[in-house]
Amino acid sequence: MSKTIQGFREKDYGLFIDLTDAMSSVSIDRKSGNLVLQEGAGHDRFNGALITSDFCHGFTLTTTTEGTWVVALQYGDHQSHVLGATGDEVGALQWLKRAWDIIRSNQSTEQSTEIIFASSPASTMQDCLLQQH
Amino acid sequence: MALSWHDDDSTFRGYVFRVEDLPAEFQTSERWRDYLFANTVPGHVIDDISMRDKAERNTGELLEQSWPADSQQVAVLQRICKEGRQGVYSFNPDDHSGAHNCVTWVTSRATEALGEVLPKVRQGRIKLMAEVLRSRQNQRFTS
Repeated sequence: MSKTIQGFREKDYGLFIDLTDAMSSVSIDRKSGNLVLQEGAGHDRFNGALITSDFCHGFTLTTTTEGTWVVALQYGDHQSHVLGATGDEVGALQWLKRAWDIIRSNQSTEQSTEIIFASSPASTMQDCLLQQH
Repeated sequence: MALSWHDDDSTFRGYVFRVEDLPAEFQTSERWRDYLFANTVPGHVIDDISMRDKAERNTGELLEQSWPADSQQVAVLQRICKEGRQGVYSFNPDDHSGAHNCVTWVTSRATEALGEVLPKVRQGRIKLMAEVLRSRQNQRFTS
């Protein structure tokens, strides 16, 4: 089942992504910078899964041929997990930047890479650059 | 599934696994279940902000059951539900002595603090626990 993002939200204790079929599918705890996935049923979904800030390497935001935007988490040893698709490029960019600030500020080890978000509507996967610190 | 208690503040606790504790080849959304059905990894108690958010939004998607708790029982919950690493996590907890998933962890913590308020369900299957909670809700509505 495809993952369609209903919205991006912030509260004083965390940041959230809602899917149309799973509220708070992604939550990021402001205190710890840890991310929890509760994405509901489906083979492309995690549930009860904690990804610590040190295990997060960033996000990508890439366009599809349909003009929507796919949000993905980069983690572990070059793993990528799609969090969902959205038509709200600006909202996604704002949320991802704030989320990444929280995650990075909680990391105990400096990450070697940082995601640069693609912002051109004509961008492709290759436009998401990894920039060395 | 999560456990919460409410005194001066509201506390929400959940039980999860860390993706980084899975072998590298199982750290994907396609394969993580396979590992956890057959194996255990360290379990972690978290501040369950996802459940807090859902409860605050009151969207009607949560199945809830509540019990009165005195200060001593709340103190027990605070002691046994501290954030951090705790026990081992498995999707088949009945097959691994001492292991829990989120359902069996909540059941065991609630039982320790409050008595046998929730039944054990086979392998801590969330669908079975949902049936229990749904039937109890229906009983409340019809009584």
